[in-house]
Amino acid sequence: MSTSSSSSKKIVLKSADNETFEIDEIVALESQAIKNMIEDECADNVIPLGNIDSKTLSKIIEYCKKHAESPKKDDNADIDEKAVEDLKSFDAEFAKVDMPLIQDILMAANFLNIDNLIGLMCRTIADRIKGKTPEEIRKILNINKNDLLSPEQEAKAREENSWAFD
Amino acid sequence: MSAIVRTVPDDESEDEFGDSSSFSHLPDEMVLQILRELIDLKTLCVCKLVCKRFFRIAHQVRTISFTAPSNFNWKTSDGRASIWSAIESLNSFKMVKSLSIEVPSSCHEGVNKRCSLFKWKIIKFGNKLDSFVFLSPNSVYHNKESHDNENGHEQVVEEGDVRITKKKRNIALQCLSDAVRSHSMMLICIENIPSLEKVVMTDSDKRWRISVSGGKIAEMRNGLSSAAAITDQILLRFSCKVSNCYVPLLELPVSGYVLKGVTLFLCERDDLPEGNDGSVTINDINDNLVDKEEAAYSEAMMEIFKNHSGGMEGQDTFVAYYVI
Repeated sequence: MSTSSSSSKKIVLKSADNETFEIDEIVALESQAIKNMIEDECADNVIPLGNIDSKTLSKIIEYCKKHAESPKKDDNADIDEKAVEDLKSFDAEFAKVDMPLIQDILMAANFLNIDNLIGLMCRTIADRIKGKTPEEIRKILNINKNDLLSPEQEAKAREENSWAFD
Repeated sequence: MSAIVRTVPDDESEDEFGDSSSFSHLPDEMVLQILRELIDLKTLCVCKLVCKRFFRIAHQVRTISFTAPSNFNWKTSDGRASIWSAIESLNSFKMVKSLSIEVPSSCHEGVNKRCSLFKWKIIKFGNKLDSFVFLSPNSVYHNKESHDNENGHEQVVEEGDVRITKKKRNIALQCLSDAVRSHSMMLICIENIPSLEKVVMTDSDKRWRISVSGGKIAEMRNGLSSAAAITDQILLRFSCKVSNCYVPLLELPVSGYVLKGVTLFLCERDDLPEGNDGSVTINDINDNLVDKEEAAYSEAMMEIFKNHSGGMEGQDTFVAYYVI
């Protein structure tokens, strides 16, 4: 795996709380947004990410590192199943964090345009709300009271879909 | 450079969000992606109640799968059967492209040890069900060896048993009513969901599967004349010719399966338009099959139509009324 060779180009990311992270360029390229910046040559050595805090950013770098190191599916038709399994279990472990962090990661992944990570976070949120009641889901996602349906709307929707609430 | 830095939240703005979740800051497309992962109709219906955004965005999903709980059924005992109210709630998902529905397997009368193996298929349909086939072997072997091991190499020809044929006919006609109901359910979905491109229906026992997609859906939609409102009860009259065929032993070259004591019932709508004699062609059955056993049953149906259709007997008429 050539990705971790010490001679490779480095990129520095700076979080909202001014923490800097030096990473291999290949890791940063997992982000389509950063990739575009580098290709357009509008990236300095230090890329400030003013809306991502260091806790979220370090998680994202952890993810990108692992995925950059893993053989890509389209590289080779018969990549060994072990690598695929390994990545799967990494993803599963990676997603075992609390909901606020998941949402922060999702926001940041959307901003940085990291498709796989967006997918993983969306699946994780979906898995956590499956089989739950609307009240439980509101709690899980910490939904603002102002965003709720009006009592009339809710009663109507409940009535129309009563079979789903038996 | 500025491309990546949208806002630099200072301390005040962070306070403003306070401990409210980032959920309200998630773009709609992310919320849609979350809801698209859910797929399951019941979960989606529950999620619609969570908040305004969920309510609005849930209706934009493209794929829905509905697995009816085992206590749901077709029959209308006290007014409408539960399954239809679930189908009705599909109507608000106007952007669905792909729909799959699994209904509980029907408990048919007369299904016992000797008549427990059967599957059925709708072979031809448009806006009406044209032909239906029911296949029931007395026994199924996954390959020649297991057949020979159990039966020895000498072939004992199992004669058709009139009582068993009668029982199987009874089950076949019960299945036919499931087929008529499933077909109407499919039509109703096609009518109510304009974006629909693919529908797959099956039952929990995998005894049948109906699928329709693409051009066929467009054709069916164009052929819909009067709007059959799902809120009204619909009385269906179905009248067909029933013929049957018995094959003592069927060795299937493609799947390798061996079927013994095979009874086939073919039901064809008796008001098929002129020039469409409903003759079954192999292509009608040979759609893409995923399940090995399903493929074997299909192969058996083809084999019988190809090589044993001379043995088809009986052309009696069966008329049934269904309320859905």
